[in-house]
Amino acid sequence: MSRDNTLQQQADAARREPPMYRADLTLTQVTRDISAPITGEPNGWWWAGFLISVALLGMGSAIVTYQLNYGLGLIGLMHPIMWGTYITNFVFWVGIGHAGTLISAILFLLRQRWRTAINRSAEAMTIFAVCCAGLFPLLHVGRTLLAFWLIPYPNFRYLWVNFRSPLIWDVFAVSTYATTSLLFWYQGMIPDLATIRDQEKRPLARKIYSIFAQRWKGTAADWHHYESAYGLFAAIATPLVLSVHSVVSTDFAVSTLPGWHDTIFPPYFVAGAIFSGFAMVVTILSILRKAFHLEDYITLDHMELMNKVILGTSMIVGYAYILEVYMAWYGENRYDWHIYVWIRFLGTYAWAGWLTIFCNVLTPLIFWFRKARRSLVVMFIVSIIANIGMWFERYVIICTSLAQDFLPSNWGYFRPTIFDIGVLVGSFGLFFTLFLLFARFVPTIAMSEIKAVLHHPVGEISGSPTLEESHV
Amino acid sequence: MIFSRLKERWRLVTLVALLIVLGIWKVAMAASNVGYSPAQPIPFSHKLHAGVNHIPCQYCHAGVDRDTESPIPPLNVCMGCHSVVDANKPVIQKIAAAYKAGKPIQWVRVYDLPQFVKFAHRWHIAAGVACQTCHGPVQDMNQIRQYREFVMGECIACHRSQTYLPAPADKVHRNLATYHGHEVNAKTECSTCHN
Amino acid sequence: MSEKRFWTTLEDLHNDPKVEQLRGEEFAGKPEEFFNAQSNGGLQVGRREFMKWSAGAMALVSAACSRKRVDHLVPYAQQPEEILPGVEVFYASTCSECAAGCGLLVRTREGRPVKVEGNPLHPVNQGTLCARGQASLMNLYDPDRLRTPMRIGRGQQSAQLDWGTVDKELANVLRTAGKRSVLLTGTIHGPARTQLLSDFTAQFGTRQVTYDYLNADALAGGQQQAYGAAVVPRYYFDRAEMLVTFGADPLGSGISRQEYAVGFGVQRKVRTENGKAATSRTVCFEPAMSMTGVNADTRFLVRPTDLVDVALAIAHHLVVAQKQSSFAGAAGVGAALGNFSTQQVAQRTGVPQTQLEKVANQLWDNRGKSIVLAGGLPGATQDEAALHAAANFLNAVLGNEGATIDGSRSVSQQAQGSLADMLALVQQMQGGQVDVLLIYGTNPAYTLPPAVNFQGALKNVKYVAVIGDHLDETARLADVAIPALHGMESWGDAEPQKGLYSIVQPTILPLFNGRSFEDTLISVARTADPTKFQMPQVTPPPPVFASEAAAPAAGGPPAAAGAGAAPAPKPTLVDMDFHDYLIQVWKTNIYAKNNLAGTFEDFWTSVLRDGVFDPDATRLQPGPARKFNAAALTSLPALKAPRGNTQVPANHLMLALTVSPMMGDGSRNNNGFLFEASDPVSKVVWDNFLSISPATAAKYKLEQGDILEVAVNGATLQAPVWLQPGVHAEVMTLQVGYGRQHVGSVGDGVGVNAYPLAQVNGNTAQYAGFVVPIKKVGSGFRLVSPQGNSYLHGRHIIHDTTLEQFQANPRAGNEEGHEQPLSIWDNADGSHEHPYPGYRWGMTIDLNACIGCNACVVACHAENNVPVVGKNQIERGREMDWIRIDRYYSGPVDNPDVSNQPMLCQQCGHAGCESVCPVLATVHNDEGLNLQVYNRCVGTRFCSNNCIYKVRRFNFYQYSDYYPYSKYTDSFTRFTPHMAYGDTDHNWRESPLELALNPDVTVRSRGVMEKCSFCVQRITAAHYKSQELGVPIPDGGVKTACQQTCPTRAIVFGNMNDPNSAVRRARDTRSYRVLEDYNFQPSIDYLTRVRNRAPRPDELREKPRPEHAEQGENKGIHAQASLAPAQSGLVQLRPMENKA
Repeated sequence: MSRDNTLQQQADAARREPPMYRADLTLTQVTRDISAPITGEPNGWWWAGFLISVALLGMGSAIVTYQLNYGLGLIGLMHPIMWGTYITNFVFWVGIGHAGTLISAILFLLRQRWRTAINRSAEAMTIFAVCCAGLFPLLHVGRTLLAFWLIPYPNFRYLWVNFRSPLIWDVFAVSTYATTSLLFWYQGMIPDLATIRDQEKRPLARKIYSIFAQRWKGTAADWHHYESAYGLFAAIATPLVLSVHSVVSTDFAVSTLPGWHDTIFPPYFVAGAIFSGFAMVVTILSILRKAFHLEDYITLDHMELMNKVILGTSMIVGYAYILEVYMAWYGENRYDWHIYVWIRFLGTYAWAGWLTIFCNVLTPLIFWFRKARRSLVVMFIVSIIANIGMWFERYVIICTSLAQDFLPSNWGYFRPTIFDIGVLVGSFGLFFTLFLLFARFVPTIAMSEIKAVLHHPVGEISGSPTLEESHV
Repeated sequence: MIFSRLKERWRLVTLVALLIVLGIWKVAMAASNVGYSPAQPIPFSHKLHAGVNHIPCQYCHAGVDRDTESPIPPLNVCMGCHSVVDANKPVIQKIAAAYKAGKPIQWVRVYDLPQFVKFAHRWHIAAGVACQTCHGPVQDMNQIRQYREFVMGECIACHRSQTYLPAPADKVHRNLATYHGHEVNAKTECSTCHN
Repeated sequence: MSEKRFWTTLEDLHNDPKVEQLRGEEFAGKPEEFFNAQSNGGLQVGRREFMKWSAGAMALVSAACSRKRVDHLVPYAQQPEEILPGVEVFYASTCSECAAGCGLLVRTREGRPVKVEGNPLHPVNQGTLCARGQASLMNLYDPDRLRTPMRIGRGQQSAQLDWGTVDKELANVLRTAGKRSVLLTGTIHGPARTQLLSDFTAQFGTRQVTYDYLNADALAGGQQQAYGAAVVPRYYFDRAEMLVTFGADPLGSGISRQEYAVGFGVQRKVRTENGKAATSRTVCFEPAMSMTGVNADTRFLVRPTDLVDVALAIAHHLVVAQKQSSFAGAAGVGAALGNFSTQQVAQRTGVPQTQLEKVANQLWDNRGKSIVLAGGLPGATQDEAALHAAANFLNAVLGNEGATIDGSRSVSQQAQGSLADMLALVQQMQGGQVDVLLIYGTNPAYTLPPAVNFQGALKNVKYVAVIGDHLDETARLADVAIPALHGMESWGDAEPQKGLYSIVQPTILPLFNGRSFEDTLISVARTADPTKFQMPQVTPPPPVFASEAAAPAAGGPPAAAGAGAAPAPKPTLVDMDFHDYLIQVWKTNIYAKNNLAGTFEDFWTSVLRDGVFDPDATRLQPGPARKFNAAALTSLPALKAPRGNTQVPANHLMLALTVSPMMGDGSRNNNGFLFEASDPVSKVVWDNFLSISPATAAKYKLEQGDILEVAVNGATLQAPVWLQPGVHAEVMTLQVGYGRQHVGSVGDGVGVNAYPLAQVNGNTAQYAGFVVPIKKVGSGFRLVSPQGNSYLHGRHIIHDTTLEQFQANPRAGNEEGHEQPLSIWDNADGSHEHPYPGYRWGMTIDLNACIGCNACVVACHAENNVPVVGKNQIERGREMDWIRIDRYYSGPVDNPDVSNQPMLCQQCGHAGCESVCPVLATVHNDEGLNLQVYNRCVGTRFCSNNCIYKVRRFNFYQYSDYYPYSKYTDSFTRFTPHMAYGDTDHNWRESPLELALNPDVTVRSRGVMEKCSFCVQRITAAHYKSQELGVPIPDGGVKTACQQTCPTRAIVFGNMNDPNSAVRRARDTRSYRVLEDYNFQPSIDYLTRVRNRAPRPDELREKPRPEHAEQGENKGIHAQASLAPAQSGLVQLRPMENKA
């Protein structure tokens, strides 16, 4: 069977499906709709959300300042449990940060056109989540001012970093990921920024947008360079999606601790990250499309597709949970068995263990039903639960394993303090502050890409997304 | 025209960059305290004592070969000579008065190690390191002045280049001397200076 | 003039002062200005000064970080010969924390004590020191000490006094009161001190009464009845192969507990006797687990009132049933013991008859080499006299008297206090027969039960003066409070046992406006009578300057002051201080005992150097056996009517008081080190509590932290409940030594004071056997313990076995042996090890010898500047101990076996911490140490997570700022200590406490990880020493702080590269490493605990399979096979057949 034949068959199949977007959407309409939040005045919902977020951020900052002044003793860390909620938050936010690049890069390379509606906001979410994540290692080290010692640089002490330590890998993985994601995000935004620039009336704003739009003129040469770069970034970002959380998982997997020392961790963490990342995207988009009237662009079809990903990754995560217990049994390791079975599901931390199972494994099962997948209320609730579950999954991994390890005389029980909770809430404040600013000042949907696929059916396959033909 | 504008811009950039580099250098030098030379309560001249009169360092700083700290000479050492020499000079009389009253002189510290470093003079004296290696040409200084930077790199550089075989100890460190078949330098492991 | 002089002007040539001044200004600054500014009481800013400041300010502004801080170097004016900055000097002295009189070596730096160690030459403690001794620096530098004489006016006043007033006032009142004055002291021994007391009391006609916090009346009384003399015998624990206690806790609260522990350790070590392994046997009959009970091979839970029955049952079995010893058939003995056959007693007390008989038989087998010890607070019931009589009888029957017990020659003088005397004194006070009361070293207001009404009696005394360390409970009731000095500030001597003389010498000048007790006595006596305490002055002090010597003869030629010309000065009388008095007494009384040739000066120098003078060689042996007076036994009324059938009704428990092994009698309670070191039994810190067995608590629905009200004869207190395995089901216990009202900001209000619960019956105090109702008045009290879990959960962390099994199989309990798992760090030569070319430091810890006394823990605190973090922080799991004693229970819950395991950084060869630290703050060195570099640490704490032993500690706060004052440290109050404690005095940086820091060890700052370093500062010092001497560090050349102080020598440290080192020799078939199969290659080997008792049925079963079973077991079998030929035919005792 020749390649043409295949393509033809696929195209035929695709044409039978309904198009992704409303047929009567015009290119002008797209531009107007999407740039409306930027060129217009923000509505009350935005202000309300923004003020709440800033307030939370302020509270978090106050706590952090207090902590930096007086010491880490403010949070609930204790002798066996030296990593607590801060590292939980770190892993949680890094996980959230997965979906954006995954949606952007991998789905781009796989020619999944439905990504166009959500990729921009998902990428933004990535950037902001990584911002939040990046803060926590800094806050959790004992001497924050000296945290730069984790970066290898020539110095008069003739000291180097320990390349055997997973924390050093973390520094590289997360900073590379953050840099690449940021560039990828920004580069994909350039045509849209140019569109805004062209629409913007206010001179200062116009000036700023024009700086960021980098003299984009929409010429063929521009598009050519743009596309090569975009493809390149996508190719670079794709392995990073897998690597960053794999590396984060080695923070645990490389150690000796029962409950951490597990070869399954890298894929398990990546699956969990995608799970929580998509859940976060669903949470945010279900609000965003309502708040900015983007129902035409972020359709239920998009949401359903994401819910399918959530269902799939949730099952991978569930499999990992089962496998952990199985390995503890099969490996006949007394300490593993104690952690994986006695502590997490029968002992002191059973509440957290079963909460994790409920949130991450049982709740997403509702997405087997199409109705649930397409119900905004259901998906909103499920995505929130999934995120809570994923936070607690990290909490369980970190705290239970540390709480009762080898020597019983060391055992302890982690009790977060009000400061732990405050900083977590504050990080959400930071995240939403940034996100709301993004929604206000940057096109939340990739206009140029929407335009490229506007009147094409969902599954249409072509050589490459012909973006240039769409830009009017 | 555009080129000249560009050139101007580059000039500006270069200037700013230069200023920044200078600033950093200045701050770094200031922080290292090199050249620090505070006024002392007694205008003691090392040049006169160690330089002109050739008094050996350890005549006054006795015990530096046994101490971890280098002893600042107590007043009885000063009075050893100065109860006779220049006894009628006002400065010496001040010292004598302080000695009689049992009130020590509060010298202003010039050399200061960074925090959390243990340094033993006696180890270095035993290894034959000259005082001037770290403290500079003290015998030429009227007022004592910090000669070089006291930072870890300086210690490490010296430890790496100096062979660690003072005469009596080679028996002890026989093993070390042939460690991996080559000569071993002064220890550079962390516990040498930090504990 | 020999020197050629250059001059610039004529004025210069003629030394014109003006020129000199100008020259001074020309150079750097004017010294005059510095001195004048100080002498004139303030800075006088002149023009030059102003310009200088301006220039300085300008310089600061322009080069913002030129120099942050101006430091000063202050050399001595006249340097003492022996002091070199940075070089330590040791002084031999005697510990003043209790009256046991252990020898000290005080390590001083720049004239201040920084650490105390035991004096190896001292026969009492033999180089070791207990936790309280190790913590004594905290008491020396205690900022809450009474700093100056004060007029208290019975709590109505608070005014400072000067010493002249004090002397005059005391001299006056004492002269007036004459025989109506009393000097009340704690135990004081030592030839010069006792001589001084008798001189002083003779001068005024004062009577002396001795009363301690805890008194040994009952013990001494028992001795008097049995042998005719009220002595406290000396016990030779190092000769006792079997120890049986009835309520006593010699290791935790014995009169000379360090000596006992040292001796106990000698016998406890596993050794070979007649080709068989042997170790001592300890049997405890006690109501609740004591520190001795923790170390017992067999424990029996016996109610306090039943102790007499049990003791007599053993006597009955030996003397009546078995007809052993010369007492068999002695008049009256059989009749007296009639009610105490093992069968009857077993019925009454619940102790199995077979077990009683077994213990009796074992004692008989060990006759002449055993000790039977009764008493302690749990034994102090109404029948305490009978209990002591029974114990004395048993010792006599067994021939221990004169073999392990010395009551005739070198008896103990460590406990001379008498409650009876005190009660008599209170009677006299009440009767108005006492006008003046001088109190020193004791605290009746704290220790006497309210029924005695000491406070009421004190009102009838016209003048009360208290000499002491603190403004304590008694001092607040006095007219004047007079500071005394700490033992490390003053001269003194001690004679803990007859014929053993020990010296106390000062190691630091008095910190405050204090004066030693002895000097106060001398000064008062001399004020009353100026002819007293005078001595002839022989030589005038030498001149300071040559010129000064010449000064009086101003007119004459200088040669007139030459040596030969001056006439010899006339001897005059000068005031004598206690130092002079001490020398005089020693010269007169002690010097004569010196058999060696030499002058007194030689002798005195040697005494000061050794710290101890032990001339009597016969002290090595106990004195001759005394004859037991059988009437002591037969005449006791308790024997006629045994109380063993005391009923404890439902909802009641029998209360017994005990003594805290950490706090002791409570006399030195302002000490964070001791509060923070956990109780050896319960592991609770910063509190005392009611110990109740878990089963009883379940029965009465009590939970940990419930608060009970305990009322005994009118005294009531409330205390929290702690569920303690190993407590008799009908018993609860409470420790004395806590609940001080006025001792200082650390000790005030910690725990509850249990002393008032004691009941005075006639002349004795009853501390146990009260039947009290259970009355719950609250709940939720936070009792804090740093130990997470006390059970092993089947984990093979503690290896233990029984002696029988061990004799059959040297690998019993330790079957895994050493295996060498695979390593990913293969060297080129195929070995797995990092090369250690010179030394490799390692440690061996004998679990059999460790008694869990916490001396190592406190020693480590003192040596390594480990902070005290307080109860709240420990509750949050933030204790900072570098070494801790893990205490695990095994076996039956109601009366478990206990295992102590000192846990410290294992200095692993393949350390988990090293590979995960991102900044290389923890690295391996080529001597096998895991270095922790505080400078480099950024505090990721990954190392702690990856440490399988969890021995790393993190500075969550700047603990060092609040070093010993962290009782209430928590997230808010810690930043504002003056708010938490009411005033700024408690910021320890402004107090003398900073002086207690060891200058060789970094004080860690917030945000860094810290851990045991094997005392790397001592290793470094040893390297210096070895280089200076040109010889390698000998075995024992480095001692870690924990090792040095360990009374039982359970810790051995040394170079593992040296096959003959003690640490290598200590390793044998018993040695194992904790969590060995994780292949961290720790440098610490533990030695299997060998319990000298019959194996329990569950111990006969095969041990649980280790995690990596196959390989390990194979190795084990090989090892066993290779060792088998050396053993007798008992190899198969360990039943491998129990496979069903």
